[in-house]
Amino acid sequence: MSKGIIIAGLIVFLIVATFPVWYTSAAGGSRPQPEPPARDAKVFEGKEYRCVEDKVYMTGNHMQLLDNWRNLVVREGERFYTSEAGEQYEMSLTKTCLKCHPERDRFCNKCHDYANVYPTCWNCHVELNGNEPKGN
Amino acid sequence: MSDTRQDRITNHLTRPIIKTGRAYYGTLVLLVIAVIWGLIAYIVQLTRGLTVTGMNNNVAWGMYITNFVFFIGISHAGTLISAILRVSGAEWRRPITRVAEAITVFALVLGGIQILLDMGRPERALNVIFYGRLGSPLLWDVICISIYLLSSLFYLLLPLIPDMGILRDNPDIKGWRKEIYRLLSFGWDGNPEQKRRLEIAIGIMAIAIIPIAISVHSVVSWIFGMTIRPMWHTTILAPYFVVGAIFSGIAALILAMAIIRKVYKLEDYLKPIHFRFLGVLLITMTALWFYFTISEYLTAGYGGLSEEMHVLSAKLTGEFSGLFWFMVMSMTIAFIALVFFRSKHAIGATVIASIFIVIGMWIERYSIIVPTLTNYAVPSHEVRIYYPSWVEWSITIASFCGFVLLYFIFVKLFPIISIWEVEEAEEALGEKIEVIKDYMPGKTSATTES
Amino acid sequence: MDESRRSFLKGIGVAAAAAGLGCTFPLLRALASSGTPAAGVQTRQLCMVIDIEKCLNEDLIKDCTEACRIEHNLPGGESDPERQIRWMWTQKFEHTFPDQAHSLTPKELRGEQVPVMCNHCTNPACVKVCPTKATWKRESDGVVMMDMHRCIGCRYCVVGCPYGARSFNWHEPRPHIKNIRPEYPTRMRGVVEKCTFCAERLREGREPACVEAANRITEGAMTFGELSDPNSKVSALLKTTRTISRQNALGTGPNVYYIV
Repeated sequence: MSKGIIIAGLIVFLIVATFPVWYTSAAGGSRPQPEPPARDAKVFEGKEYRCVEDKVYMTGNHMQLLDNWRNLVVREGERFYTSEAGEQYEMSLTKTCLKCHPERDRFCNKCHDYANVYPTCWNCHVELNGNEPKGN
Repeated sequence: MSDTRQDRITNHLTRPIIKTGRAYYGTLVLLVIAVIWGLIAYIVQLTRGLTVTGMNNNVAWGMYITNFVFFIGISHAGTLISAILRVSGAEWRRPITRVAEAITVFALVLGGIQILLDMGRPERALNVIFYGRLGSPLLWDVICISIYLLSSLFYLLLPLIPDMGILRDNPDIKGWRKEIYRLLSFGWDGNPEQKRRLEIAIGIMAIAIIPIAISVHSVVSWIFGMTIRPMWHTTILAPYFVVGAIFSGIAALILAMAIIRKVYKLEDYLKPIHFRFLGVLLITMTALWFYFTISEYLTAGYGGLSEEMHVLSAKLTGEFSGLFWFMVMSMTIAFIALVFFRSKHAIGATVIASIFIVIGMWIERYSIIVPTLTNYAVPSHEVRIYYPSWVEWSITIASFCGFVLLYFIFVKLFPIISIWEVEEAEEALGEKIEVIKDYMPGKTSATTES
Repeated sequence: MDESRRSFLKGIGVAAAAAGLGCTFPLLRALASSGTPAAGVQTRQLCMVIDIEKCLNEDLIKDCTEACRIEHNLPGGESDPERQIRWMWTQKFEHTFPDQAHSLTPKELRGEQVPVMCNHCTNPACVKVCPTKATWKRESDGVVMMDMHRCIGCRYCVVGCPYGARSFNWHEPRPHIKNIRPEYPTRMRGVVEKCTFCAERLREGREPACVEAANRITEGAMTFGELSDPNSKVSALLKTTRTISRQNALGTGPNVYYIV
């Protein structure tokens, strides 16, 4: 008798545990596609900008990078970041990142929604187009 | 003979656990409703921010911090009283220690919650540990109160072990409760070695907890004392707070005892003599409280520093005079009740005194915190008096109900009077006679040699 | 049985020791980070000198506070003045300098509006009490900084500061900001903020917004500079004119000076 209960319990457990996986695929979920910046968005004052670090690094580590910037700027009073490639960037979400990625709905939120993470950046920082920020 | 007496005691003291009346459930429901109401108020505060309170940039701390100091004060009932009485071998402590120790634990829990309630970003509370600055008095509080909570919980559980054994073996108790008792009895079977070790452990804890308790209310006072605000920045604050804490603690203990004895018909255990003895302690504390208060206010008033005079006159004759003189009157009434009516109406007099003291001490905390913050010396706009909002009132009332609720649940699960300690009193009888004989001239015995 | 009990107890002991060590780690870390700047070391210190006479000008005051408000996205239109977020504001002479005005000081003088802000004290009372180092004295220039990301909103600094220089965000600030300037973040509800001597402008080598605005109307109304540099304009002013600072007796060492 208890055997049956155990097996039934295991099955229920497996269903619940794998729920996120099959639910996402059943709901037609696919890998998020954040929009890359348009070509002309990368040019400012006649100078072409590249992202501070390469795409793979940024995808995996932008949160640590931003956290690090935040501490360096707010706590240490520093201003510039030197990338792996040796280029200098001002450490500023608004003045640097948002120049190429001005709309978070088309960039940040694509992955954040998919990964179900809600960073609180936008509670204080403002999008350049001045849209009254909404939600996360 | 001795067995039947023991059985009778066990029966009396386990009755509240086994039998539950309708009144109990009624009160329980009321308390739960009050707590839920408080939770709703807190959700309102969480969604709209601290703007729903009456606080502002001048009076940036209000009722929550008052409750915090008050609850931490009440917590001194317990452990400190019970520890001091244990260490000094006061035999009459036996039926009241657990009543006191439970107050400590629950008051500390509620006190700690008040700080969380007061925070602008409670979800960042752990920053205090991740980025803690030991230079901040607030961190001293975090450390001391955590230690105090852990040790008083331990100090509550230790003497529970033998009682858990008794309840585990009680044939009337079954199910999940029996499991709890089995777990908490830690295999207690009452053999002499277990008894010896338990006594040692309790003895160590009783001594250790006294400095911990004193440190706790000292650092609570230093939250205020370490700033450079008028009437806060004074060396008297730490002892003043400790005295006030023990003072309100004893009063809370008397109230708890009076209610328990009435509700559970334990008149034979919590006797007038216990109230009379606690009344003596209370008289001492009232006198000490008056001494500290007079000392503090006389020093400030005589010195007449203009900053302090602003706050002092607000208390004595200004906006806070109503509260201040009500507090003084409460303490005076308590003192008169204790001194003149304690011997004839032990319970009535101490209970009335305790009610006035508990209310008076809450007001005392309030009128230490709020008038100084009302900022008479550097008003940025104009002096405005702080009035708590309905949210603050709701949460405060819910906090007190939550405290009673925790206590209620505790009484249902654990014997509120220590069964084994009361039973053991008879054994102690012989020892006491020996000790008293030792005082007398012309006799040396083993106890004095060792 | 005895053997198994002993090994059991041993296990508990090891576990307790590990837990104990685990608990001490954050404590040690906290201890290590609790240091205040070493005494006696002459560090850089920015300071401000305000000419009270020159600031007795409503337009000037309005321009200053407005410049500050726009620069930092400060919410306005608060119905309760005691809940207004303010980095810079004015208050009566007698309240600003309670130990300077006496009962015979003429009423007009006592009521003069004096511009006030965070004093960026040498020995700041707010920094001393902060439990998380969310506010601290920056060693590189002596500015008392705020980290809104770390602040837990306990308001101990608000209570600790004797100058009333700190404001708490009682409600969501954004709906009360007229035009949000995207270059500077707003704050979130539940944190404390105050004047930072315009740290974001200092970083770019510019003067604070209020100084710029004030001097546009009356040259020399506010002077900003380095106290630790004997050749700076502020040092010269402090050497040659009669200046006072707010509630000097408190020992906080305010770094905003007033020419009387």
